[in-house]
Amino acid sequence: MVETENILSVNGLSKVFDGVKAVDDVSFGLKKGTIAALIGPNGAGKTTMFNLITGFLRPDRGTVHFNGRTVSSMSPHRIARLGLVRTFQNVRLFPQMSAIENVMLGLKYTRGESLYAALLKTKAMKKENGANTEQSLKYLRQVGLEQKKNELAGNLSHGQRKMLEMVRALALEPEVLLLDEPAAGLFAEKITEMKRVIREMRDSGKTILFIEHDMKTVMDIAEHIIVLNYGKKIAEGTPKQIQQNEAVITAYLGRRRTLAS
Amino acid sequence: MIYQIILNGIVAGVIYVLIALGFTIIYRTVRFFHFAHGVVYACGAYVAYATFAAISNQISALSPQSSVIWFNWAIAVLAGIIGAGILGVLIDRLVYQPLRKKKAPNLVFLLASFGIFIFIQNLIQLIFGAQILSIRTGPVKEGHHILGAVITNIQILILVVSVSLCAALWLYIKNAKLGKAMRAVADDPLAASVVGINPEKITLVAFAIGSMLAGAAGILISLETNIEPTMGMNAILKGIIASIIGGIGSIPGAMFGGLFLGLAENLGIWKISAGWKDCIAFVILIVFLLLRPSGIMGVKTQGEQL
Amino acid sequence: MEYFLHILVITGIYIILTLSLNLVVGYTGLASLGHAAFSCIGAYTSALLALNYGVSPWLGLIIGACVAAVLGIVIGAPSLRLKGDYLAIATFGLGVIVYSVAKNWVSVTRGPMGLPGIPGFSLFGYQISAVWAYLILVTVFVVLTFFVIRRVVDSPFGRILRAIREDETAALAVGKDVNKYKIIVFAIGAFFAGIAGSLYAHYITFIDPSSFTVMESITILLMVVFGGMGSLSGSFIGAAVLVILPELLRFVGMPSSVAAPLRQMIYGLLLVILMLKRPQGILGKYRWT
Repeated sequence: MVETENILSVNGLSKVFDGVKAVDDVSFGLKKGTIAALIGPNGAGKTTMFNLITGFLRPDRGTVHFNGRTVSSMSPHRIARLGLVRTFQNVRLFPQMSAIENVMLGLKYTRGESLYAALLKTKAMKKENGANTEQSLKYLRQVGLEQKKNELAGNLSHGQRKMLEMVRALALEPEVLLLDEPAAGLFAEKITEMKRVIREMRDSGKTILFIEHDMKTVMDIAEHIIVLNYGKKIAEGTPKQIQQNEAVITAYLGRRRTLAS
Repeated sequence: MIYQIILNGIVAGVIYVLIALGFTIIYRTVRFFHFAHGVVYACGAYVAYATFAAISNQISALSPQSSVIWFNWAIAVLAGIIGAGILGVLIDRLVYQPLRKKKAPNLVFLLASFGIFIFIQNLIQLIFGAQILSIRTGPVKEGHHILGAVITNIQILILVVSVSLCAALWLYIKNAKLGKAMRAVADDPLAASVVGINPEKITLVAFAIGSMLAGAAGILISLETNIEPTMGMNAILKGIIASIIGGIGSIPGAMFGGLFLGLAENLGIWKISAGWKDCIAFVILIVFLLLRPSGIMGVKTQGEQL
Repeated sequence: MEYFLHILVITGIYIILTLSLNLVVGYTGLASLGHAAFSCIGAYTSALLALNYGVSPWLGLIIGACVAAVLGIVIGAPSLRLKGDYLAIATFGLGVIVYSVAKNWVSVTRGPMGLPGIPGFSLFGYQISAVWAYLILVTVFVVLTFFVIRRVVDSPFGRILRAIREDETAALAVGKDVNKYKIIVFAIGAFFAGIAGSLYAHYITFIDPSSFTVMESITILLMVVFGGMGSLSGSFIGAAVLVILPELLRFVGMPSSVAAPLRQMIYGLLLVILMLKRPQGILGKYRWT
């Protein structure tokens, strides 16, 4: 792996829980501007991988490099600020806060969030607050949630919540976005919308790695696929290569059908 | 001198072990700090006292023989232990179970537990008064001398009873059907229910056993020192600290932690004045929380499920 | 009449304590069970400075509050990483340790005998001794505390606190340094508790460790919970009700050996009933799910 070319690279990452190897010596790299998918049967270690990459878990062995920096021992909030952002399988929003507040929490500015700014309500801070509200509305508009800006996040529909979490992640202006099952529980039209948003992100220069079980979606938009099973990487390549890979087919319950169906 | 300190430490330690064991058994099923365990401990002591006083009044009119006193004793102890057990189970059924049904967060359970503690402790004070009471009967007997230390009959009794209770509990958890079921629920409640174990029933058993242990501890300590309504606060704090030292949720850990704490405290006040005893326990607690929150024997948890 | 004013002063002091704890527990969701430790620090620092070094109570108040805040940071930095139950026990332990120090460090604090003769506040050379004057003083501080905390809570900073309360993991995932915010909030809570402690010390002119027990911390927590976690106006109600109610008991003419435990029993029962029926308290809006 040529380190300088990959915006995100994972090297020999391992994590053991109570004697079980959740992630076992996994390495891969992502080039900037690609849409990649991380797939594998349930329990293969995909979400654990995400946790390791984004600092929510400390690896037992191995390193993670992002944009030339080693991030494997950084705290999760720092990694997020650097531009490596993730969403959650179970959609972690702030349920009793409004949609617009959720997005505002994602915005990248920090000056207004200090205690100093809170105590001394300066004109500059007020102005910044106004700009941020505007910016947040823009993000909401992008996913059609502008009307729901004051709705409590917990009251939104599942599809809306998924979109909200996505757009809150975008507010962090990430370079690499790790999406944990972005299509889970979504109806067909919402999935199409989700795919559109992902493509738009890639077109604006972002790199995406997503975990997915819906093979149709994976084969449709992923350019690069990494397959895990029992914590190990068993295959990596283009969708076509993966579809024909014996090990992968066997891993998915030994189905004789190809993975495109 | 050192042997006396160690002896005192062990005697104090086994009491802490009993409290910590009861606390741990309960913790393993409910997964929050059942702070009210402290008043269950106090309840054991006070019910025993009240029973003893009530029976003594009745019996002494009939015959003041010492054999009768032992009989009074047995009834009182039994009453105390059962009383504690009942209180513990009531607390679970009346307060914790409804909260479980509502899927309340841990903070709510904690606060409710505190509330129960304050209520019962003050109820005891209301009934018995704030002064210290004594269960002792007869003059203080001189102790036996071993290795330059003095050990009294009561201390021997405490050691024997505590060790027996621990051994009995250990065997039960390891071998008895309910004991194994308790371990299953502690390990993985979902899997346990899949194999047909009813977690609510197990919780009830855990509270019964754990509370009876606390009651026993309360009665044992009341033989050695006097009792007062606030005795539960100190007890539960030490019990929690011992559990954390040994590893929260670990039964051998509770045993280790209790002894460790008893010894550490007594060694500590050998060198510094006795008023700082409680402080020692908490300093140890803070040290463990910061350096090794999983304790000596605890298993490092997986970290949050994300 | 003077008794009534005295009760109002005490209520005011407790309002400051309740507001400051509400910020920590109610808004940020941190299980802080040792709040009385900070008012103890504030009280003793201010009192000792005045008694031993003739420091003006005004200055002593500020210094006491700052010392309390520093302690909050020192303790908070490592402890606030702990999960709920553990943080509760750790802060509880802090309360015990501070109380122990107050009770046992006799050479400095005179232990259980306490510190008598603490000078009151003075303005332009005149000693303030009238109760109504203290009522005005305490009210000023109550208003000050309320405005500061409300500013904090209604700001982007406050928004992050609420986010931490709702979902710490998500807050981390959006780049917030959760631990830093927790420490700052803890320190603010400690600061105002320190102010309350100092006010108490110079008003009553006598302090001893018994005013800063663990039960005190729980009482303040009860005021927060009752009034509504995360509701500032609720804190006014919580403090007022829980200060005034036991005073009413006094008028019923019960001997103190009955009234004292009875009052605590009511507190305990109230806490349990609140948790069972209405954990968000009287005015709280946050649903504790």
